[in-house]
Amino acid sequence: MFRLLLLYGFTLLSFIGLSLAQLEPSWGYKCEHNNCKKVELTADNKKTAVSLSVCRLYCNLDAIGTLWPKPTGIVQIGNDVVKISPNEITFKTESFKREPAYWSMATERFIAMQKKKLPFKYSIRSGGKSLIIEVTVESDDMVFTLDTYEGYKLKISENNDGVHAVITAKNFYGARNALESLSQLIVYDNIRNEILAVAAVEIEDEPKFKYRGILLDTSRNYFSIDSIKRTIEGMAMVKLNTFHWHITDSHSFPLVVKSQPELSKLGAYSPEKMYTPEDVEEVVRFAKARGIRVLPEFDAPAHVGEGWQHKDLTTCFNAQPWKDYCVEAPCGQLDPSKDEVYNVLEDIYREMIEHFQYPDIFHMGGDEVSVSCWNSSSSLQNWMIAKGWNLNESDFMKLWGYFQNNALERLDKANFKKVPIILWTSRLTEEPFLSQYLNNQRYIIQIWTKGDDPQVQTILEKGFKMIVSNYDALYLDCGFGAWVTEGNNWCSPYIGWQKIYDNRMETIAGSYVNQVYGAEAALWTEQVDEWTLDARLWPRVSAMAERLWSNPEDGWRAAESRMLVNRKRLVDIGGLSAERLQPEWCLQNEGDCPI
Amino acid sequence: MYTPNFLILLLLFQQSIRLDAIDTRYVWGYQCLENKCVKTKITSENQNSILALQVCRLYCYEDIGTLWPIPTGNIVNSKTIVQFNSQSINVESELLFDNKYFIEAVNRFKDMQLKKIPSKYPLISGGKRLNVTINVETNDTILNYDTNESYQLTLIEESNQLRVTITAKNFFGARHALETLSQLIVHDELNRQLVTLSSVSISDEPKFKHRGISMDTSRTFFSVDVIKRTINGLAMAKLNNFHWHITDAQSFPMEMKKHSDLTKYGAYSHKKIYKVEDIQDIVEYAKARGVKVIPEFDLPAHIGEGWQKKKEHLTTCLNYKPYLKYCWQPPCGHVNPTVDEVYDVLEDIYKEMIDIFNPPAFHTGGDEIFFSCWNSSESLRQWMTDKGWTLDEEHFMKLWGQFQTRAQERLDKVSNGNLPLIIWTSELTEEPYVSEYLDKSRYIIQVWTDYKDVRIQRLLESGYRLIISNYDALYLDCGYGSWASDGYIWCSPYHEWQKIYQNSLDQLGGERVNQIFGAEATIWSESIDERNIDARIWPRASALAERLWSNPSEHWRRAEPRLLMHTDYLKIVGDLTAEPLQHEWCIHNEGLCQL
Repeated sequence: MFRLLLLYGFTLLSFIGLSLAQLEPSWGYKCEHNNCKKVELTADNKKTAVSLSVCRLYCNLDAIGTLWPKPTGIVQIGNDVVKISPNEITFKTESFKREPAYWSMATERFIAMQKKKLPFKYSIRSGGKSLIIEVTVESDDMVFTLDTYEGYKLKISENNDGVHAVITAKNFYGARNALESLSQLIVYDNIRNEILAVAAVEIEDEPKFKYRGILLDTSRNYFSIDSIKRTIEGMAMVKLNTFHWHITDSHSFPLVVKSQPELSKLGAYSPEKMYTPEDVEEVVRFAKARGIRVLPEFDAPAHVGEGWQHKDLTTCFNAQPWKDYCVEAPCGQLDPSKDEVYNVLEDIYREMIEHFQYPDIFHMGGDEVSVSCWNSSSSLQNWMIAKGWNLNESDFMKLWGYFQNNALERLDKANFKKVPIILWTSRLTEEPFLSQYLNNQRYIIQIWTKGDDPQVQTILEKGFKMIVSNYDALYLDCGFGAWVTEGNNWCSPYIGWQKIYDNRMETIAGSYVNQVYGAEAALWTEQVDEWTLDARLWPRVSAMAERLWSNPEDGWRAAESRMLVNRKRLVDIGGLSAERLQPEWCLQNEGDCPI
Repeated sequence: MYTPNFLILLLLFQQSIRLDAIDTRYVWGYQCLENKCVKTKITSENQNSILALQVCRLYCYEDIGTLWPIPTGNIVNSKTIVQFNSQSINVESELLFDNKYFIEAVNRFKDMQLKKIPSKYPLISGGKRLNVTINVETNDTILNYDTNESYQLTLIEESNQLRVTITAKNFFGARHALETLSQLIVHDELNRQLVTLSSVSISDEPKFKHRGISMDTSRTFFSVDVIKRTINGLAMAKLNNFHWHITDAQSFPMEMKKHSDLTKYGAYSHKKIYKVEDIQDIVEYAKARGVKVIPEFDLPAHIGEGWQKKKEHLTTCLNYKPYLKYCWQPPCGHVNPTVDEVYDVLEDIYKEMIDIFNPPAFHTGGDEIFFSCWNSSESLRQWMTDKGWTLDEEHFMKLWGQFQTRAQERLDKVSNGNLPLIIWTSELTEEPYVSEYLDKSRYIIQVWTDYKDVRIQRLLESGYRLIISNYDALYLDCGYGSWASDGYIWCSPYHEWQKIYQNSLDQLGGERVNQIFGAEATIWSESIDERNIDARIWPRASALAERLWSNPSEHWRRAEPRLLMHTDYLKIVGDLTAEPLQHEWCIHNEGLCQL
């Protein structure tokens, strides 16, 4: 191991000799009072000044470098860096024999991430030590559930053979998270034109919340498989673990269901805008290698429409004026009185379960059911009357409960086992219906009310587990134009990353916080497509990632300068078009921008 | 030619339409019913008359549904379409044939047609030759506020060709005509052809002469490619002004030969510099697209990075903290108006800028002066006291006014002495200072107050010519999270396109509307970079474009279906990642989404 000072005393001559003169930066950094301070590079300070990326590794008050999300256990990051050769990274492990393909994907990805740190136009200076990554896990089991332990230990040290990173974890998922942290401890130094790693590190880390997710709506606008993978890649970089795929809605039906081919044939926006079973399987595999579950949602009984038009199983499909029947055009709900509905649902569930690779949780939607939509169908009215029901709200709630039970039965039948079910908050999750129709051992409730909505407390009091998507902090589509009229959209204003960072589960759930599995940022895509996707998600979901993984005591201010580095990493390594939070000047002048 | 509703004609002209060519992957097409394109399932009965959406929109509408901005003169068009051969486009002009801008414009026109063709599904060959004849009165390509931009375009189908005749005063009018022609040509995805209307006659000219955006390349550096992509988008919407706010306090990316230290120390990095050749390349690129490039050198405030290597007394309050005492945004900095050498440096900078840009007008900045910044300099205070001035507002205004006069003298010295000058609204543009220091025959005032600010009326009454950038409609950075704290950017909320579209200059100007040159949308880049700038600008700048070119009296609702088409056009032909205004279902179902 060598200290920076020695290293550059030793290499200064060769450094100047390179034909890099015109590429030489004018500025470097030095660590002053735990802040990286910009200094002019001169012949005198070239030995001691470092690049911004290197300075940020060790120069900060909380001594966690640039790690995002910040670890929850022991963190010791040394002040010394060591040059490594990105062509000499090797993995040593006796584990991962059961499904070795995933470990191969994780290691290849790690190496590819290091290559992305290199400059495009010229090659880095040769030399440097090899990086040897030694991994031990207790179990080769690849099943991922809400009980999977995602923690890890990482130790970096250096000897004559090279730099050794020793990872211990319970399973693949913990080991993978360790690789993520390791990658964040390796940076490109633009002054020396080298790749450097922190030479001595010890980290113990595990997440505070089990469920850390993003929802993407691929019905209102279609998203290519590439853009979905890019999103999942970003999620892995900040240790999020659930990609909630709101794959269908009333606007389009992009999912190919082979036993019900009409759904996507009529329902997709165009022949190109479909997800085949192979596409879905590819996404699930890609995500698993990154420690991410793909959670399928089939939203019913509302939020159906396109694709169902010739089946005669819906009510109020595309009824106008739409605001009399639903909250957004096109309207449409399944007609619970028709037995055939459940046969079609069973087909859909069966194929979804197969192609999503037997998911450990299933989302059945269940939001925004409109009584007026059901009540617009005389055949449905007649069916209810024949059953001796009236046409009051409580009767329609009974109809909804009836639908939910029948649909669940078909899902269980298709699945051969009972997995936890997620439902959105709705009228059905309010009392007395909540107790009447939903079992707290079976259902997890995903809230999309405001954080302080009284409904949240009621659901928790009734013993339900919860996933938090309070719209006043976690709806990422807010703040833009109201697309059906002038003005701004319903959940405006725009939610800044600071608000997301400070969106604490304890504040929402109080003493019931143990019933909160975690949270999810939702991206509804009325006004988002695959080209603007990244900017809506990133880096704001990183703020949620740290809230959920680390649950820091401190608010956003303590994380601000690290957030800027995290954002840059998402852009440079993740290839994500993350929103720029501040002028680049603020990244180069740490702490000088916040008021 | 074929008339979709009359099959007999189809049989007569089988040469140009192939009935077997309908792409069988498609299940939906459109038919024109009561001036609306209605989504219709393709059947064996209707497959001869069914239309692709874009084709239907060409004529099934009150306006030609693919034009943006809508022409201001007479429009006569057929309701029939014709296939033409995209391989056989010929554009001729007796006067312009060897003009380099004309040659570029013609090549660009041809490339734009090719971009409409999906790479996976090539066109089915066939169709008529497209012969375009351009008649202009002059070969001069001077682009300034006196340039006439009008044109007339006629398109007639003849037995062996499509004959287009364009008549304009000059290249720039002719170029706009090509833009219109390109919008009249659409891709028919069902039949895999490029088609256009079989008869069109349009005469057109803009209502306002200054139609533009400003781009800030100091807070964030934008690559030359991004600037070009933006300018190309301006041309597509017939905007004609690119105001380049090239420097500011955060970075100095403009290459300076004589004062190379400004760039060396002021650029964010050695890669983030606009070389002289880059700028000249951009100016020429813009000119071939009918776009003026107006450079801004913002003074006396908004300087900072780059100036630190100048002698200390040339500037005041450079990077002082806490910044809010001396400026709105870090790093602070003003030039010191009391130092003669300042004007020598300015003259050098102006000279190089005039040489590089050869601009039709020059923007001298002049916003956000803080007297506390000047007052922080002891030598400046001494200079004022020596003159017998007191350190109060009156005398700081005098200092500012004299600075403006002296800076203008230097600018006039190195230019033709008669260049139109643009300056931001500030205390200096209020009476009595404005009349004292700013000659109304030289200065055009760029307004960035809100729409209702009384100072706009006062400036009009004083006889000044204005460019409108009222922040409550035309600041496109508004509505996002604050970059310096939690909360929102000062000018929030987000300005939706409807607000921009309805931002009436007629009402603002009243009887003095002829003093309003036009308007400009600004894109301050504190939290914008090249990955998200397209979505900030487009399609909202297009809403401004129609306000300025066409100045429509109709409500935005009438324009909405056309804007959705235009947004797609910007994406496909302009490679711009425009913000999607509505989900794709609304594009497919015209008029069914609005509230």
